[in-house]
Amino acid sequence: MKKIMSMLLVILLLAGCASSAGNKSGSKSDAKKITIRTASMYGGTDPGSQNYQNIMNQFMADYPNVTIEDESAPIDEQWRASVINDFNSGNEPDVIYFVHHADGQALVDTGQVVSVETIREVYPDYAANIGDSAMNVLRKKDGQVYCVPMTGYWMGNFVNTELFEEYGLDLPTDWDKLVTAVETFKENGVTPFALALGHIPHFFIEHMFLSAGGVEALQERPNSEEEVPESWVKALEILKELYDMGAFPDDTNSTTEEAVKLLFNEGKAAMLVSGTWHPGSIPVEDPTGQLVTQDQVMVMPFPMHPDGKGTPGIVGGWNGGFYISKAAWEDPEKRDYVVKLVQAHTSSEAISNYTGKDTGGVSPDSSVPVPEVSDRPLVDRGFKFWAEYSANHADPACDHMMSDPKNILYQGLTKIVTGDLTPEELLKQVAEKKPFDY
Amino acid sequence: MIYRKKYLAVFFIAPAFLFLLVFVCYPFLMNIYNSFFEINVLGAPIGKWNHFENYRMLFKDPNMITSIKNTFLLMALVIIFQGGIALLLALLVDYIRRGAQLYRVIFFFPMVISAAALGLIFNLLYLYPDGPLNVIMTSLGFDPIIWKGEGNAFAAIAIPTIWSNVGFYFVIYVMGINNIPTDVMEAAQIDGAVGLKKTRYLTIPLLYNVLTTTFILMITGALRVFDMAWILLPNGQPGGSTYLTGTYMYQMTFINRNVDYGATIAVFIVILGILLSQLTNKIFKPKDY
Amino acid sequence: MGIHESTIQKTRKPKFSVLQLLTHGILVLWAITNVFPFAWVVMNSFRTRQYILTESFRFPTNPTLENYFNAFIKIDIWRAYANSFVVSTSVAALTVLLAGLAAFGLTRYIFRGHSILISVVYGCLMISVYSTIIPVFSLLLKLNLINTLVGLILPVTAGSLAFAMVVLIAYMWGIPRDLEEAAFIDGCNVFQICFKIIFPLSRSAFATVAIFSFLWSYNDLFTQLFILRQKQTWTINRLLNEISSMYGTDYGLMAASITLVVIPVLIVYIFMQKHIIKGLTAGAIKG
Repeated sequence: MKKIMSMLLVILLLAGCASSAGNKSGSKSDAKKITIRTASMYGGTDPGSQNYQNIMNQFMADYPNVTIEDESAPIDEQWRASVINDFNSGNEPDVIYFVHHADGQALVDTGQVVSVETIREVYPDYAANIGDSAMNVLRKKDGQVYCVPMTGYWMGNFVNTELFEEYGLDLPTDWDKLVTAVETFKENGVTPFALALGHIPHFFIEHMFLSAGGVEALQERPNSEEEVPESWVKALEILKELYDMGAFPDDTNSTTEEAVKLLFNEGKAAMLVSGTWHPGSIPVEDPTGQLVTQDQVMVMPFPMHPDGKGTPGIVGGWNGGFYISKAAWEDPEKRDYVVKLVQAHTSSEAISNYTGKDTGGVSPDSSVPVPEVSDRPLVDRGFKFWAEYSANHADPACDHMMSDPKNILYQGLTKIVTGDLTPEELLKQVAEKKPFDY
Repeated sequence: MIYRKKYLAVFFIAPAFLFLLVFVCYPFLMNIYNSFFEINVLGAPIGKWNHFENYRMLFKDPNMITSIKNTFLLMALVIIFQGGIALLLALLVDYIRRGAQLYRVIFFFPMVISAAALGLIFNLLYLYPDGPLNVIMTSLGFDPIIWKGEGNAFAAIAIPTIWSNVGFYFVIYVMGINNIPTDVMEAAQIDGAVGLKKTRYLTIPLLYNVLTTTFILMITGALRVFDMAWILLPNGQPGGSTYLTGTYMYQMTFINRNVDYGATIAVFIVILGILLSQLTNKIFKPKDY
Repeated sequence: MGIHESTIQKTRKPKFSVLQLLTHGILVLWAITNVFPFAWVVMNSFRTRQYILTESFRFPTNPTLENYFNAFIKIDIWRAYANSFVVSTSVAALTVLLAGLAAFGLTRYIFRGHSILISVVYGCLMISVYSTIIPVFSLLLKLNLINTLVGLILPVTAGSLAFAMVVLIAYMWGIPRDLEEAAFIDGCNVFQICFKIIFPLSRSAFATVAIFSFLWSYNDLFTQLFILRQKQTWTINRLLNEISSMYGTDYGLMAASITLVVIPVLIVYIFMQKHIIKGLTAGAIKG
C-alpha cells in the first residue's frame, strides 16, 4: 500500500510539473521580467514563419527582460475554434496574429481584444504606416478596427508552362483555351487541375464564383434561400462541368491537399489554383530533374466562363492582423511592450520582410515598394500579377461565412460533382443557416 | 460486526463517487440541458433557448440520417463478420489445441494498438495510385482502386474496424468454449456427437449467454467508433457519405462549431444505445443450461 | 466397454489429418493478416519516400535511419512519450486507488442507498464519452485546466472508474470473510483490514484494472483532441493525428512515427499478454 501511495504521489507531482510547463505562466514579478504570450498562424517552416521568429528573437534581444512564449500553429478550422475558446475562457495570449473575417468578429465579440482606435488614443502613431484602404476592409460591426495587418495575399491559377508547351497548347487565358487544355491533358495522362476537392476546396470554389460572376459574385452575402445569387448556382454548375470533363484527379474526392500539391510540384498536374503561399515550395533550380522549377510556372487569372457575367478580377485580400488582448492592454507592466511588439511586426521594415521576395505577400503599407525579384521568377511573376490585377480584387466569399454553413458548403461540393446534390439544394442548405448574419 | 461504524464507509466510497458525479453524471445531465439551447463556441456559456429546434433538425438532417444508416450497417457487418470470424477462429483453435496459446497472442495483438495508429497504417496501405494495396492489385492485373473514393469509402472504414476487433471477441469466445464443463462435452462425445454436429448442437447453444453479451458490446461499440474512422476519412469524406454517429458528433461540435447540435447528437447516441441494448436483451433472454 | 472405448478412440484426433492442416492453414492466414500491416510499416520506416512507393514489399535495399532522426527532431516525440506515460500511469494509479477503496466500501458495508449507488455505477458504465465531453470541456475551461495533463487525467480517470469498480466489486464480493473476521478479533481496524488484507488479496484484479486503464487512456484519441491544444501537451496518439496532416506525404516519416508508437505497446504486450487477455475478457463475460 505504501508503495502505491508513494508511486501515486510521484506521478501526480510529475503530472503537475509537466502540465505547468504547458500552462500559461503569467508575468513573473521578480526584476520586472515580463512574459508575453503570443500566437499566430505562422507555425510552420515557411519564410513567413521564419520572419516571424526572427522578429520575436530580435525583440527579445532588444528588451532582455521580456520573454516571449509563442504558441503558433498551422492554421486550420480547429485552431481557429480553439483560439476563440481561449479568449472566452481567460486563457488568451497577449498578442495574436489572427484572421479577420467571421472568426475575427467572433474574437471581437468575446470583448477581450482592444481596438486600434483605443490604442491610438494613447499611441497616436500606432499602425500609422498602414494604408487606409487596408484598414477599412478590417472594420468590424461596431465600426472600429481591431487588428493591424502586415501582409496580404492573392490567389490565382498556377500553370506549368512546360507542360503546355509540350502539348502545343495556348495558356488558358480564356475559357475555350482552358477546355482545350483540359481535354488534351486528360487524353495524355496528365492531371489537368491538382485539386483535392474533398479536403481543401477553399481556393478553387472562390474561383468558380469568379468564373461565374466576376468579383461581384465574391461580394454576395446571401442570408436566406431567396437571396442565393444566380452566380453562385452557376459557379457550382461550372464545377461539375469541369469534373465531368475529367479536369480533376480521379481521387479528388478523397485525396489530400498535400498529395495534390505534390502532383503539381512534380509536374504530373498542369494547373493548380492556389495563392501567394505556394511559390515558396517550388525550387528555383532542381538538379534531380524531378521537380518543377520556378521558371516553368506562370500565374494567371482564372478565365471567365462564357455564360459568366461580371467584372473579371482575382481573389485577394489581407490575411489577418495583430490583435492585442484587453488583459494585456490593461496590464500597466505589459501595455508598452505589447504595443511595441505589434509595431515591431508591422513596421515598414517588418512588412518588407513579410511581404518581400521570400513570401510573395503583398503589402498594406504603400511606402514599401513592390519588390523586383530577379532570382525567383515565380515570385516575381506573382508580384506583377498582383500589380496588374489588384484593381479588381475581392476577399474570398467563404471567409466571411460562419463555420457551420461554410463547412456545409465545402462538404457538399463532392456531392455536387457526383450529381448527388443539385447546386440549388446545397446553396439552400447553406443560406438557411444565415451564414453572414453575425 | 466489523463494519458496524457505517460512517466510515464514506471515506472509502466518496472519492470515487465524487469523480463520477463531477465528470460523468453531472456533465451527462448538463449535456441534455445544453441541447435545448444555442451554443456557438465550445466552452461558451449557453445562449438562447432553442426549443426543440435541435431535435427537429436531427430528424431532417441528411447527414445525420446518413450517419445513422451507416452506423446500423456497420453494426450488422460487425455482428456478421467480426463476430462470425471471431467465432470461427475460436472454434478452429479449439479443434486443434496445439499452438492455441500462440494464436491467442497473435490474434489479440491488434486490440492493444491504438486505433489512431491503425488508422494511419491503413492510410498508408490505401494510397492511390501506388500504395501497397494497389501495388498488389496492379501486379494481379487489375486497375488500382481509389480505396477511399465514392462507393468504396464505407468499406474502407468498415474493413479495418472489423479486422482490428476480431481478436477481442475471439478471446472471449475461446474462454467461453473453455468454460463449457468438460464432462458435458465428454458425455456428448460418448453419445456420438462429433465434429460439426458437436459444434451446431452443443458448443453454440452453450455459448448462448456469451454470444448475447458480445452482441450488445458490438452494437454499442459501433455507436462509438471514432478514432480510426476519423483518421481514415475525416469529415465523413467523400461528401459526408461515411459519417458515423461518433464522427458526425465530433464534426458538428468541433468543426462546424454547432455545439448545441453536437450535444443533441450525443444525447441521441446514448438513447439509441440504451434502446438497442434493451432490445437485444429482450430478444436474447439469458438462458440457463 | 470395448465399444465405448473404440468410439472414444475414433474421436481422438490423429496427429496429422487433412482437416487439421486445413484448420491450421486458415488460422495461419488470419495470423498473417494480423502481422503483415505492422511488419510492412516497420520495414518501410527504414526507407525514404521514393523507395516506399517503388519497392514496398522487398527488404529495404538502402536502409536509412533518416526517418527516425526526423521523428525525433521535427516532431517532439520524446515529449509526447513522456506526456503519454505520465497521463496513462496517473490514470491507472488513480483508478486503481479510487475504485479499490470504493469497491471495498461497497462490498463490506451495507446501508440504505447501497443499491442506488451500485446502479449509479452501472449507469455510468453506459454513458459514453460523447455525451459528457462538451460540459466536461466547459468545466475544465473554468478551472483553467484545458491544455494541461491534469485536465486530461481527471475525466479519463472518471471514465475508467465505472468499469474498474464493476470488476473490483465482483472480485471483492467473492473474497471469503474469514480472514477479515480473524483480523478483527486480533484488533485490526477497518483501514488495516482494507489495506493489509483485502487489497493484497485482490492483486490480480488490480493488475487487470491497472493495465486496462493504462491501455485505454494511452489509446484514447477523442478526449485528447478536445483537451490538448498545445504542442507541448500532446500525447503520442494526439501527435500521430497531427502528423498525418502536417507531414502526410512523407511516408517514411509516418512509418517511423507509427513504429515508434507501436513498439512500446508491443513490448509491454508480449510480457503482459496473459494478464491483459484474461482481465479484459473477464469483465466482458461477467458483464
